[in-house]
Amino acid sequence: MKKKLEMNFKGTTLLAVSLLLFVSVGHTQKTPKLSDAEVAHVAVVANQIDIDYAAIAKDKSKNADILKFAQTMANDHSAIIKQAAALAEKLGVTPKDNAVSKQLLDGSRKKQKELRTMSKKAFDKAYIDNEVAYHQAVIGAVEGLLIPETENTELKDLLKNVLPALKAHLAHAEMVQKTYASK
Amino acid sequence: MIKLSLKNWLLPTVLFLGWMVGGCSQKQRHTPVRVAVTLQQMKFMPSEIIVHVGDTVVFTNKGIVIHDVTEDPGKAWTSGPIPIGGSFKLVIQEDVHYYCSIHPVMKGKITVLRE
Repeated sequence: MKKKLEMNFKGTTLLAVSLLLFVSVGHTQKTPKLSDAEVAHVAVVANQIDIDYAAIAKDKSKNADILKFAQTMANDHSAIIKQAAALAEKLGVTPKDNAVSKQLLDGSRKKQKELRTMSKKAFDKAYIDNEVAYHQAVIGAVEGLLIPETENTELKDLLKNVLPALKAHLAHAEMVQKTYASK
Repeated sequence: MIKLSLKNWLLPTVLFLGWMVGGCSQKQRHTPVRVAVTLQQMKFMPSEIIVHVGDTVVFTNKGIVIHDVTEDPGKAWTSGPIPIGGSFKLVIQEDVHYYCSIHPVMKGKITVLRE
């Protein structure tokens, strides 16, 4: 399974693969048990990571499509965090650090360093490739781990509502990625 | 006797003809209506509608992020950003293809019914 996943996502980020492995583990025996507070933390961290990637894109890219995509990611993921925070407050849940969110952060730090030190010429393609891989991985994690692990109905509904946005982001990223296919 | 008969039939005939003409012209004159399209789940719902010239389409953002409604493909007009819970009205004069320029995977179509 691990080998197959790595083959399918060859060239994608370490973060994406690690997230997928978390999900694949979830489908076998060792499902990471997450409380609602931990699910909320993973959701906030996953959104914040993409905002951080967008900030790097704004610093390094001059491509209009990349900049527009990055701005959309920053706006949409900020809006989702705001709604998650409001719901957590309403439910009296304090997002709690956990192994999944730590792994997400560790992976993203490595990827951010890689993107920041990359030449501007190579950056645009690397950024959009990472966005495709990241959204694939996060969609897998939300569907395969976070939604099944969530007990509170409102939190579960929020995660279900976020899925179409993540899928639209993925489709948008793939549209932009295609423009680099012939380059 | 004949005079009386004509007098008796004249008024109902005029009224009948008037009703016929009025009825026909009313059928041709469409009273503009409002048609709702919601933006949710990253889709325009419904994504395809058929309306009459002069109808108003009201786009309401019931999603979780900001959207817009923009003419496709030339960007001849745009709603600008529609906040969550906000709406945008468009009076229809012709067929329209549109999309969300923020999320280009969201597309819709308005067809004008021609009778």
